[in-house]
Amino acid sequence: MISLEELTARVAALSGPATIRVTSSDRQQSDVLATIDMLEMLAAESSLRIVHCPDEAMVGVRVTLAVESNVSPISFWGTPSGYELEGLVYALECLTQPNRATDSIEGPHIVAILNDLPRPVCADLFVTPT
Amino acid sequence: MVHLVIKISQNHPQLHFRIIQVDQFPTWAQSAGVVSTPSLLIAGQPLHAGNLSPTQLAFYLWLAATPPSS
Repeated sequence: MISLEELTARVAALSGPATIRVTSSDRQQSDVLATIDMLEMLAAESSLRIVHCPDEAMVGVRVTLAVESNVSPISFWGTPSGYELEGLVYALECLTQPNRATDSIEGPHIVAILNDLPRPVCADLFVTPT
Repeated sequence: MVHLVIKISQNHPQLHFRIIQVDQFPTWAQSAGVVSTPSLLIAGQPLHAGNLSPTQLAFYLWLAATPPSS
């Protein structure tokens, strides 16, 4: 299990400005406050901005990531914790350091399958906090 | 699975993923038929439960993006 200190150090090492947007209907709800507090701790040693975006229709909390106008294709629904918090940091790293994403997880056959898809695909990954 | 979908979507901009915490969205998870995690739901396909290999994930995504031949 990666510690918050290790994740904070990884966030501090990010290159380029990044923003984490926390969307909820009410900033004062306890789960929203807890999410923002946790993310601000994560961002404490970096230039990462945490921004609350009010949306009356939003149930729960949604976290999205952006580097200027480049928005991550990943959104986190619910406060990420444990392994999923590490996933959020990893998503930030991939967004700010695109070359990081190009390692051996994808063989040439996978690149060939997924390059030039005829239409976009949105999928939902359901996870349990670990 | 989380790292895999993050990486694969970063390399292929037509792919978008929502990572949903089932304890915070239990109704959503229930309506999707989730009984174990991780579970991946792609429109038009049955729920994929368990960790998928990169090849399996790529195939299911390609299937979702490719119109059926007439």
